[in-house]
Amino acid sequence: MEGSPAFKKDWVVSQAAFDGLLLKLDPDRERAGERYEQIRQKLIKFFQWRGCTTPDEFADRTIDRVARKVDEGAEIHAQNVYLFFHGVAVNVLREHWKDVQRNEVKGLDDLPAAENAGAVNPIEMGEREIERGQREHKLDCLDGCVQKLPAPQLVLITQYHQGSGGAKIAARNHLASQLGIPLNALRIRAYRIRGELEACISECVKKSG
Amino acid sequence: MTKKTGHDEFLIRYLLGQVTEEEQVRLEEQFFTDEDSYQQLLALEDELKYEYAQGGLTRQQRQAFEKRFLVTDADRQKVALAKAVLAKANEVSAETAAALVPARVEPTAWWRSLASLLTLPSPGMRFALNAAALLVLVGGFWFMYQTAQLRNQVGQLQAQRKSEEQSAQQRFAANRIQRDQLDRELTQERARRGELEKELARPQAPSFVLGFLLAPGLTRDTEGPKRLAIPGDAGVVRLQLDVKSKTSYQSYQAALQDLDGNQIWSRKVSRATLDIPARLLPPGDYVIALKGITRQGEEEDAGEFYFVAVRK
Repeated sequence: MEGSPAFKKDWVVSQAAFDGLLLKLDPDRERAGERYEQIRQKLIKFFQWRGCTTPDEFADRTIDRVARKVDEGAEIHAQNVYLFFHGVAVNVLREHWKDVQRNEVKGLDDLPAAENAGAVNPIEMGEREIERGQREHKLDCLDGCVQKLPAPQLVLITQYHQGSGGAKIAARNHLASQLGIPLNALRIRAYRIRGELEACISECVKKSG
Repeated sequence: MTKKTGHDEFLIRYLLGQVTEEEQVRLEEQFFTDEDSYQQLLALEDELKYEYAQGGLTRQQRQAFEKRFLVTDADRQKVALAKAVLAKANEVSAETAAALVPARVEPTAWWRSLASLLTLPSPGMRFALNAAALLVLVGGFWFMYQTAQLRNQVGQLQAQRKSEEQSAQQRFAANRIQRDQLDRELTQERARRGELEKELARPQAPSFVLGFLLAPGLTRDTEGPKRLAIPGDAGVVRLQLDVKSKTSYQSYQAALQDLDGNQIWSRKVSRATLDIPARLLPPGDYVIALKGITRQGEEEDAGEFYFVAVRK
């Protein structure tokens, strides 16, 4: 995708332009850095949810374009800074679709997985072997991490994912009422517990890796 | 994944790419400016992964999910891990889930509540509590043993004291008895002495005086000591002692004794003639020990005079 004629030439962000962008986000550089990271994460998710296979690249491209606009004197109001980024991101996405349609060029990454199946890379095969070993190790780490999880959290996550269909929804509503919290808050709580488990497993794999 | 709230269903359709461009932009504007909305989307996206791993999506949803979220090996590993996490969580919590779920609180027996207080999550705290309980138990047994020992000693001391008290009481009783007897004997002696003194003080009745002459020592008479026949109505028996000593004594000290050595009568006299009440001479053997007192006041033996009193 990079260097493709479907896209405009990359504009290299200068330090002055980057500093100008941070200043627009917040006069305090540290808070500006936090907001910058928040925006970048949301942009990545946006592009991922829009079906892009390289959301990081599209997110950085969007930020570069916003920095250029700021450097060129565009006004960004603080309460609309997120919307400004979103607007630029949508434009980046639409330009990409147009270019793809116009040029009918598909990068390897954009192909569905089935179309990649015929290409066998021995290096990739070796990497898969390593991944298989890591998978087994992950399961070992999983045992330890689940055991370390506090009992109330373990029960919550187990009950949250029990059942199917309407019974599952009803059970979640019941669980939320037992805990005295709305369903949305219960979802967030379950999401955080799963995140802690996955982080624990990653840390375990990294330590023994 | 069915029967969610309307909004949740819309969010899932957005994640799976099943909403219009206009709906997408509207939702994106919301989550770009509202952090809670963004977090809900993240949670739902993660939940989709677990739902897919459990086989909880419809066929259409599964296809959309695979196209969007199962593109790379990393994505597939994430789903595989999600499946393993749920399986392990179910396995571990299968035995304890019912106890930990804050369901209906049923009344528990007091002893269960007490037992639950001793059940602590932390192994370290459990160990500490068990150690403390063991210490208390050992201390309790030692205390009981000491108490039993002390009680035994107290019992022994009490028994000993009781025995001593009884002995003391017995000794006291014996002493009292002896004292009472001595008091009686003393009273009797005093009474006797009083009678004797009265009798001696009483002027002698002009009674019949019987005189005998006694020689010192035992006579060589074949009949033994001199026999004095004393009639029953005799008042006084006058004994004239034949002192063989050439010393001229100022006075004499005479003592009447029976053969057991008991002194019956004694008197200081100016000459060797004694007047002894006849009643003091019941039939028996007697001896008069006579001592002469010189001009210098010294006592000298003047002779022993034996006789036998008989009733006439």
